[in-house]
Amino acid sequence: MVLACAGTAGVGQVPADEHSDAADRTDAANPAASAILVAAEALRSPDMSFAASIALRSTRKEEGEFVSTYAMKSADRDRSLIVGTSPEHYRGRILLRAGRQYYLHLRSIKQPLRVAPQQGFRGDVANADIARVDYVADYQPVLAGEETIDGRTCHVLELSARASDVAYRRLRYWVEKGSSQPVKTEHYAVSGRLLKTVYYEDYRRSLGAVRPHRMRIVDGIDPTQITVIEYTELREENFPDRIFVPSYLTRLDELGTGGGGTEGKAGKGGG
Amino acid sequence: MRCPSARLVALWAGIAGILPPPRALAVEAEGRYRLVSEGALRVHDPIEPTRLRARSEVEFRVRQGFTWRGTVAVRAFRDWALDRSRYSAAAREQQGSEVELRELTIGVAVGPLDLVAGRRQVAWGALFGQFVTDRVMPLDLRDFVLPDADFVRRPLWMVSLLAAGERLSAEAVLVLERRADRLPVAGSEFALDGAGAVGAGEEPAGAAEENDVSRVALGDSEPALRLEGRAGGVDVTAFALAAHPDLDPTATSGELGERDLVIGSTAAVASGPYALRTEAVLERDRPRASGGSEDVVRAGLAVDRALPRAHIVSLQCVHESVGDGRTEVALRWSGAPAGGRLVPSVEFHLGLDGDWLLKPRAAYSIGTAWLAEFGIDGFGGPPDTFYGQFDRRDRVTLTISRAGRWAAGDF
Repeated sequence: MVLACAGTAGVGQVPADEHSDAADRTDAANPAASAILVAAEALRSPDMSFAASIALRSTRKEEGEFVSTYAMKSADRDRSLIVGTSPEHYRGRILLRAGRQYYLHLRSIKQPLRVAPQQGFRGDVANADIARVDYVADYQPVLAGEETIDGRTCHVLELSARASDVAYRRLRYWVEKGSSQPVKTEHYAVSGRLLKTVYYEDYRRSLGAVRPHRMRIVDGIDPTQITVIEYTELREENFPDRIFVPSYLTRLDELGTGGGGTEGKAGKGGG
Repeated sequence: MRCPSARLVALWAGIAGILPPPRALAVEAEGRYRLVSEGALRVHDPIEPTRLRARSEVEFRVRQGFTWRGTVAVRAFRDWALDRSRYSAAAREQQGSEVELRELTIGVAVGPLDLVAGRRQVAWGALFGQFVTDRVMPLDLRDFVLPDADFVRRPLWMVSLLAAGERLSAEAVLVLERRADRLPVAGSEFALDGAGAVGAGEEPAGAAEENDVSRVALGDSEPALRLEGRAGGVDVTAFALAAHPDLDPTATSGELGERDLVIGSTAAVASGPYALRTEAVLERDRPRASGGSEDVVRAGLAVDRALPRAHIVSLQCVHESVGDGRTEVALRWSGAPAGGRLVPSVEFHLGLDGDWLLKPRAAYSIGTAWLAEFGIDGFGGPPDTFYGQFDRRDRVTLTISRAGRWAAGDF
């Protein structure tokens, strides 16, 4: 049944382990749209414990490109840490996502602060963008049709927020038929205004599947303002649960840049 | 064993004896430095710089995975502005230079438990500006308007155990050191109570009190406990401290009185573009400067509103019932309109006594190592008010810093 649902959506190259929870995550109210979303999210947001390096490039016509880098640690779809590694004065800046809650630790105040998911992380990137929010848990999908983008035939999903505490009230999500690869998302404010468009690019194999390694974020008001998030060095790693607890963030900072070492290779998923 | 450092070494050795030893290999290490040049001119008296300071911060960290860690951090500065200034000899001596051990810790974590011992800072609370443990974590008030709380918060010798759970966490802290707030001496840049009226080259009446005394003794220790929980998207903390009264900076040289109880709680919630933070603290029997004691309540509320392109606006209101009471409203804005290299911010504090502080800042990143920051500190209000007493000390500041690191292993 799991494979049947996934097959309807065109699951493509989703790793076998991630099929196992597809049935649990499929919304009975709209199974076709839900299966498409589950399959796309399995590629965009791996359900495994992994680490990655992130480069965030902001391009502005006034001053050229500005690059900041981060170390990412993700325990599962619900919990992730983003730790500043450069420029040097970004060190000690840690963003924690624990479910729908976000916390920012700054070395200057040595105390985690509760922050809003829509709060800007850097440039046009909101906390929820860089921390890889799980759209399956947070949004109700409806299949809105099909469109072709750059020769790729895509399902178009309309996603509406299941709760008020998510970053964006409404999304439009383009998912390629057959491969289930995310192509782009449009993010809308409560007022209906387009805030940003995110393009998913640079598909390569990592963590057991062909996944997007670059998010290109185009500002909804000024399309010349572009921010690119690049994910590299994706690798499976296990982390102790305590590092994803807000009260631990100060001690995580005491562990130094990158927020700790390696506890070992994770036991599940592909490599 | 009278030496406090020897006691701490013995304590660490005891802890190390009952816990599994770190693996011989896979130890990672990192060294970091920050070199800072700070200059400031007083607007009303631009001939004389109020700060020409060079500062260096060096830290070294070692760790073994997520289990063992050790840190040491030292800060040193020299301020040449005082050499030819009108400040008193006492001010020059106290503020002209400093070398301070800011951090020396060893920590170990097993499962949800994390134990750390040594010299470090602790901050609990939910509001900007002053955290509740500043009651037991004294401030270096010589630098009244510096932006970073960790610069003015003084580290103390302590032992701390944290049990970090997804829904409930508990942290117990035992502060072993008594150390008073470090106040500016009379005649110096931001001396309180009008003492700054001392004329050029003139010594203030009475020598500066020794206000940098430290005493480490288990009998004087201050215990603190904090519980933190999450339910329905709301974070709630409750805490209690047993702290020695700390009004008199010379108090540590005499006998300590009974510990006073400080209790409080915080709550925080966020949704969409909004985050809401609250904090309330009750300090029982705080001594009055004029004699006697009083219960002091400090309560505040802050709302953050995220706007597109990393702009954020925060409104914070805090009331403290010391003496006749003081209420302050603060408005902050920061953003990154040019993508991250330039980050401007403005902070405006308005006291209900009619006093105010305006702090615009602009920080600009140059490459990955350099940061330049330009700012203004503007004060106003009646002379007997908190910010008003600095009305003639508006200043402009320029700070240039360079940071770097060295790493070994997988750091």
